[in-house]
Formats: sequence, structure tokens, C-alpha cells
Amino acid sequence: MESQLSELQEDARSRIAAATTTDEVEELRRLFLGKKGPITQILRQMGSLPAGQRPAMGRLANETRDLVKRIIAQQNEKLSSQEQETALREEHIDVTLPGCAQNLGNRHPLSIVMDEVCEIFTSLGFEIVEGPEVETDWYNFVALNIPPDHPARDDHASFYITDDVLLRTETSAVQIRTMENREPPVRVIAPGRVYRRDAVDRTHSHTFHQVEGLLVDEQVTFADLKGTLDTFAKRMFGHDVRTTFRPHYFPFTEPSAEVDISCFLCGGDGCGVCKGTGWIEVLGSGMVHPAVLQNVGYDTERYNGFAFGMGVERLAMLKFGIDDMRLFYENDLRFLRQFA
Amino acid sequence: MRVPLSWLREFVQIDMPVEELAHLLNMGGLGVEDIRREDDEVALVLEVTSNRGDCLSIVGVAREVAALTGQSMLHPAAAPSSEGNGSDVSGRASVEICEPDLCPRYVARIVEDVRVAASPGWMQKRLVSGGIRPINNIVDATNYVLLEMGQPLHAFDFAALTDAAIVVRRAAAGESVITIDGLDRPLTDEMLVIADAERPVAIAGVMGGLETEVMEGTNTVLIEAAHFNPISVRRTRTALGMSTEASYRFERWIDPAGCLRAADRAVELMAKTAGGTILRGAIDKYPIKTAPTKVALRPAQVKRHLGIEVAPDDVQKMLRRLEFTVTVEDDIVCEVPTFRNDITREADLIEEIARLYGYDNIPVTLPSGVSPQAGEDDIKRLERRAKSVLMRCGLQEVWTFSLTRPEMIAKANMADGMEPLRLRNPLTEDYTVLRTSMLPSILEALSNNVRVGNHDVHVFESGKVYVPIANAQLPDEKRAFAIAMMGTNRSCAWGTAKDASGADFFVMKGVMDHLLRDFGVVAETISWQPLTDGGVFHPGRAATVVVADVQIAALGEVHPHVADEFGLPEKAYLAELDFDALARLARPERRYASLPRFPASNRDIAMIISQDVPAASVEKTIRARGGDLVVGVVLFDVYTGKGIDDDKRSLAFSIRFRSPERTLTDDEVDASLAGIKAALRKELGAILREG
Repeated sequence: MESQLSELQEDARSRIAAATTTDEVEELRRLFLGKKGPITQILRQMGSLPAGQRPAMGRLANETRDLVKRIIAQQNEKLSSQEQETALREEHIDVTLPGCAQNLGNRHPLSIVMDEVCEIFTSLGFEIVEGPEVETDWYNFVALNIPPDHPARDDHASFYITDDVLLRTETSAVQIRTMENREPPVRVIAPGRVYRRDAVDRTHSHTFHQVEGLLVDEQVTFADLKGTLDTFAKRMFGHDVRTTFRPHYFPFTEPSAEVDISCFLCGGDGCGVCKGTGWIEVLGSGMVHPAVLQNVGYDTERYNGFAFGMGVERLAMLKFGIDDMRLFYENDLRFLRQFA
Repeated sequence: MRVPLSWLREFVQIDMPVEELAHLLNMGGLGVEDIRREDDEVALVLEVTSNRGDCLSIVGVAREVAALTGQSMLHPAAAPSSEGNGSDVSGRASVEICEPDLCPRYVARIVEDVRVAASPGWMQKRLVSGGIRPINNIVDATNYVLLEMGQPLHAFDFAALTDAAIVVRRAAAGESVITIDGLDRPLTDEMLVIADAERPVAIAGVMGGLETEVMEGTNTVLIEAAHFNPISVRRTRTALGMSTEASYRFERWIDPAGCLRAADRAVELMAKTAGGTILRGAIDKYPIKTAPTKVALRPAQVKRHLGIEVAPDDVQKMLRRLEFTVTVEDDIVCEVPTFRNDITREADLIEEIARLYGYDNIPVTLPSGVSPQAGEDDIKRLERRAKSVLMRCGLQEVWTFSLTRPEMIAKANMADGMEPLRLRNPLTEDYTVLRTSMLPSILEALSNNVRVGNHDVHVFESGKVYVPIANAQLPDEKRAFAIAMMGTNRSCAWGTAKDASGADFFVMKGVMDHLLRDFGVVAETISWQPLTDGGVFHPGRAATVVVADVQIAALGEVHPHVADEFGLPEKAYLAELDFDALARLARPERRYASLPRFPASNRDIAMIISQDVPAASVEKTIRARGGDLVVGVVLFDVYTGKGIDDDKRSLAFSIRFRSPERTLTDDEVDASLAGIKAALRKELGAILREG
């Protein structure tokens, strides 16, 4: 009986190890451990043994049964993890197939630039204000120190609705409306749409966009104007960018300045973007002309200020390297999606 | 304006490379657009701003160079009127100024026995480089002086002037003059002319007349050097639709004190190039003298405006460099020469100081103070919020023009709408009116994309429409949003996602739902009403969105005719939103609601109901009857077709019941459901499917 048991152990060990599926193992479990299986049979024959042998033989038979159970469990574990791995392998996918998603909408490039300009100035304490695009001659010209018959009107070819009403040629008109309605300090920027009677081509459009700024307070200096716009230029185009201020003429500022930034592409060495000069003109600015302050009833002995303006299209063309202004208004998705 | 360096050097010393000179001028306010090198000549191309008419000449630029470099300058050689080898001019011609306000000074000099021929090469070369075509030695001399000194001159064929008379007067109604370009110019009494005893012979400050033009065979010439009122010249040349070298300069002010000297210079040159005899003396009518302006500068203002300390001595030195006569009383008082009409007040002097001090030498500081209003106002914040919702819905932002044309509005079948504001002077026929709806322009954006092969287009725009108001000067500029959808909006052409549905009415409605929800508009207050007017929309597939009796949006499928007009190959969907109205309803603040503590029970019901009963009414009845226990109603099936009468449809809803206080028993839920069913039967005629 003892040899019978040890043979049984060997037999079970080798046959279970040879099983290749958990189903086979289950079959072997029934074969070895089932009610008709050899171990059960041996245990049943226990009664025919001499009483002295029974405990030892009983222990041996139970050990054999436990051993077979352990072997089965081990084999099962081994096989099921193998089977699972196989199943997972069969579920493999081609991870290089294209992804599927709802398209995302993104901002128009002019929005991106306008938002960025507004963000920079609001972080410097400016308030965003807006005004009408259909404007009176007074707000668009006269209050800004551009009387009728002023040659500067040549630079502002205008679309008229009536003798006295036109599409605004700059957002400076908003400055006047703002100042009329409040006492200094005034610290505002006016983003918006403006119109000039220009044909549409690569660099011109009858409709374009500006952001203009105005700061009026006690003791504002040209040095403050330089500091404010230098800060803006660095945030907008990079911290290495330098600014230079050139005298210019705008009827509504005195002194007036055009602002150039050092070319952010070549660093000032000269390249295509800066036309070899190392500098790019980006802003017009100046100290608010006293006549403009007087037009809104401000005391020029107490208050002064500065104003500045920039073209959003121009900034966007520079920033993104766009060479044709018409792209902004054609709204070709192949263009717009490049700014996602 | 072109400035050849060799010409400039005749009047001022330049001992620096041209690049350095260009930089100096740039930083001094005379913009150098280009440096041109041609043959043996180097020329600066200058952009002269409209306030600096005095710089529209070689001498003017030389004066500026002298001021910027701190040197003095020379002036062109001229034959003083006291000299002349001929007889005295007096009595030979008469000059009468009838409109001294429009012509404060008129100088005439006469040269006789000239030989009209081509001018010498050196003179022609300079004219050509200045953009002026050489004509003959007399005309060229006048143009030479124009370029050199900035004073426009005119030479008349003296023999052609009836009665040897010059009369500066307004044109009489009905008069006209043939100008040297050969065009017959009708004149009005708003226009100043130079006339002889009989007729106009030139348009003052704009162009000379053909009949008195100097040409081969002319023996005696009368040279005019005058000062005309800038506004008068500008109005005249604008009315005539022309602009000349002369009018350009008169508009920007020429120095009245310089007229005589320019005439002297011209006759000097004529004598040199055309021979002839210069009559001694000049006829100089100067009825209104321009006195030099006196402008005071309070030294403290320099620091106040510029943020720099400049010693009063240095301030005076700078101003003297500009040829201002400076006297110091309490303030620094400048007598400004008459060539600088742009200097009229203290701020102008401060600008001169800044310019000469150098903008780059002014320090960089930041303004002080904080603003309580810094940042965006509410409406801008809401606009940004709406844009964000739409982009999260997958819509691409577009920017279209506010200007459009009536044909575009008609193409969109919206011509019946309000009359748009019309431009009085449009540039092209494409842009003649201001839009009153965003839809035509966003349809055009769809159309533009179709043309380049983009058929899946989901876009929105935030913009303005311009609504004329009767008896008001300015229109109402209303904020509006437009949305357009066509095709699918997924970046996938394979697998299950491929079959995801493209644009349709309910996708558009879903976007609108998101927006309204984001703005905190209470769902129960929103009413979707069929819009059957047609127009841009399909009359059976469009709706208005009404909240609290205010229409805030219209949306729907594009009318097939309109889709055809715009060349849209697929069904497209549009929405237009009155953003000002939506903004007034906005309650975007959020309050937390505690999460449910008790489980919910779900019941599905299906019914057959008349097609005329809107789904919204069914849901409303379910909610009304179910009361507070009903916390969710979801329509999950709509069926028409086989097994159902043509005028009916099957609707299936899943209803969720929950109490905030306890777990509901099945009996409670069933009782509520029975009540709902009864109401649907009784109120809406629904046939409930049991099972």
C-alpha cells in the first residue's frame, strides 16, 4: 500500500505537470481525487489494515491527497495565468491607428494676439473699454486735434455714412468718450475694429483692428510711457527684446513717438522680417496733446498723460510669420487650425 | 521725398557716413525710409510728417541737420531784388490781391529776353531724382527752387497775360481754366485763381494754365512766388480731385517770409541757364504779414512731461539751434521763425527739447498708481465665457467683415430685413453696407471653405451688427454671435467614430443648450418655438429661443435655396444669438447643491401620441404631475413608421424618482407613475404601452 501511494504520487505529479489546459487539470483532479479515484479507494481500504498500521498509513494517504491538491493548484495557477496572457495577447490592437476625437475649436489668430495684448495691459492695471465703430467726425477727428481740412486726414481715408458720421479710423475715439465720462486717473485700453478706405491686398484691408491705450493722471512723464511700452514689448515678444523711440507726428500727441523693437527673430542682426535693419516698428505713441485734454475739459496744469496704439494684424503677422493679411478674413480652416 | 547728399552738402557740412546721418535724422524725427545709391549719387528717401512742411526741401532738411549736429548752415545763392541788370520792374506789370486772407503775399519778378531751351544736365538730373520731369530751362528753374527751398513757383509767359496784370481773386461761377495737363477745369467761387485782366490763368497753389505756359519762343517770363492759405489750397485741389507738388507743400504751410528769396533764387538760376535780363526789383504785395509766434516755456514743465532734468541754459541752447530767438524772462520765451508754423504752444517746445535731447536718452520708468477698474468689465467677461463654451463644443472661431453688400444679404434670402446703413463713398461694390445680421458673412465663411475643399466646417463668430435707429445719429451696435455647422466635426475617418452623426438641427440645439446652461439660464424658462418664416432657414426646421418673452436666438437648417446660392454641398445649420439679450439674462454664478443621499428608482414609459404634441409638452406634463419626486426625465426613443398611424409617433421616456428624505418604496413610485400616465392619457391623448 505504501508503494502504491508513492507510485500514485509520481504518477499524479507527472501527469498533472503535463496538462496544458485548466480543463485537463480539472479532469485529472477528478481522476485522482474523485470519489472513485485511487486515493479515496485506498482510504476506504484502511479498514482492512492491521490496527497498528492504520495511523501511519492514514497519515501517508492524507499527505498524498494534500500533495496532489497542491500540485493541482500550482498547475492551475500556472496555466490560468498563461491562458489569460494568451487571451490578452489575442486582444491586441494596432496602436498606430489614428486617434478619434471631436475636433477642438480654437481662437482666431487675431483673437489670440488681441487677448495677449489686453492681458499684458490689464496686468499693468489698465481697464478694457470699448466704443462705437460708427462714429461722429467730432470723436474720430476734431476732438483728437484733427480739425476739418487738416492734412493728417489724408492718412485716414474714411468711409462716410453722412457728412458727420463715419466708420472710425482708429480706436482713439474711445479715449475721448472715456475721458468725457470720468475724471482722472484714467488708465484704459480700447481694442476694436477700425476702417480705412483702402483696397484689400497683402498688406492692406478696409477693415482691421487696433488696440489703443491711454493713461491720464497727475505727474505722468514720457519716461513712464517708455517704461510701459518697453514692458509691453518684452512681455509680448520676449525678454531680450529692446525698444527704441523715434520722434514722429500724430496730431493727438505731443511729443509723439514711433516705437521700434529689436528684431525678435534675428536679435537685431538684420533679417528678412526686419528688412535687414534689426528693428521692427510696432507702435505709435506720445504724450496726450494738451488740446485733446482741454477738449474733454481736463485741467492740463494738473493732469497729463500718454497714449499709444498698435495694429493687431501687424502684430499677428509679425508674431506668426504671416505674409498676407487677407488670410485673416477668409477663414480657411487650414489656416485657422494652425493656431490650435 | 528724395534728398541727394551732394545737394544737401551745398548747405550744410556732413562729416559722417550716410548710415549715421540717416540714424541721426531718424532719431530726430525725419524718418529715413531708404538710402538709395544710384550711379555716383547717394540719396536719402525721407518720410516728412504733415506738421513739418518746412522740411519738404533740401534747405529745410539742411536746417534740420544743422540743428541736430549743432552747426550753422548756408543758404542758396540768389539775385537780390535790389540788383538786376535790366530796367526797373515797377510799372511793367500790376499785381492785385483781392483775397488777402487766401493770399497774404504775392511776389512777382520778371526776366526778359530769355532763350527757352532744355536746361543743363546737372539741373535735369536733380529734378529727375526729385521725381519731376524736366520741361525747359525756365520751368525747370522754378521746379529746382521748389525742391531746393520748398517754395512752389510759377512762371508765366508774360506776353500772354492780358494787360500785364496779375489779379488774385476767387473764380467767378461758370469760369474755367485749361491747366497745363490739358484738362479743362470748371471752377467755383470757392476756388482762388490767378487771373489776368480777363480770365483765370492759373489755379492758385495747384496748377498753372496752358494758355500762359512758358514754351519755346517765350521771350519774357513773370515768376510768381506766393503764399496761399493752406486750407483754401487743400479744398480746391480736393474738389478738383488732384494733388501736385505745389499743392502738397502749400497745404503743409510754406514760409511767407521766404517768397521773395525764392523768387530771387529762381531768376538767378534763369539768368544762368536761359540767359535774359533780370528786371531790377520785385513786385511784392504783402497785405497780411505773418509775425513770428511768441511761445513761452516754463522750465519746470520739461521735467513734468519728460521726466528729465535739463538745465535752463541747455534748454535755451537747444532752442537757439532751431533758429528760435530766445529771451529769458520768468519763462523762456521763444520767437519762432515763420517757417515753423507747427510751433504754437508750450507742448510744441517741449517736444523740440525731447527731440534734441534724444528720446533714447530719456529714462525708462513705470507710472505709479493702481486702478480699481483694471481688467475686463462684465460684458467682456461674458463674451469670453461664451467663446470658451463654443470652443469647448468644438467650434472654430472666425472673424468676418462687418461690411458687406446687399447682394450678399439677398443671397442669404434676408433682403426683407431692416434696411442697412449704407456707405456714402464705398471703395468697391463688394463692401457697401454695414451688416444687420451675422448670418450672410458666416455663410460666406462656409462658402470660402467649400471652395478650397473643406466640407466639414463648424465655426462661430463673436461680432457686431449695426442696427439703424430712426432719428438717431448713430446706429445701435449690438453684440451678436453666429454659429455655422456643416458636415462632421470629428478628426476620424475609420472605426466606430466614423459613424458618429454630422451636423444637424439637434447638434446645433445641443450647443445652444450648453451655452444657456453655462450662462445659468434656468431650463424651465427657455421656450423653443418653431420658426416657420423661411428666409435663411428651412421653414420646417428652425426655431427661435425665447427666454422670459425675449427672443435671444434663432437657429435652424439653412434653406436649400440659400445653400445652393452659397454653393454648400451638404446641409448646413446656422444660429444667430443676440448677445446683449443673453448677457442680461446671465446668472453664471454657481451654488453647490448637496449630493443625493437616497437611491433613485427608474421607470420607463412608452406611448403612442399625436405628432402635433411637442415632446416638450410631454416632458412638461410628466414633471408637472410627478412633482418633486421626479428628478429626471430623459427621452430615449422617438419612433414613427411601421405599426404606428401616420399622424402619430411613439415616444419613450425614462423617469427618475427620488426623495431627498427617504428611500422611496416601489408602491410610492408606482403610484406616482400611475398618476403621470393618467395625466398623459387625459391631457395629451397618449396611449400608454403597457408591458
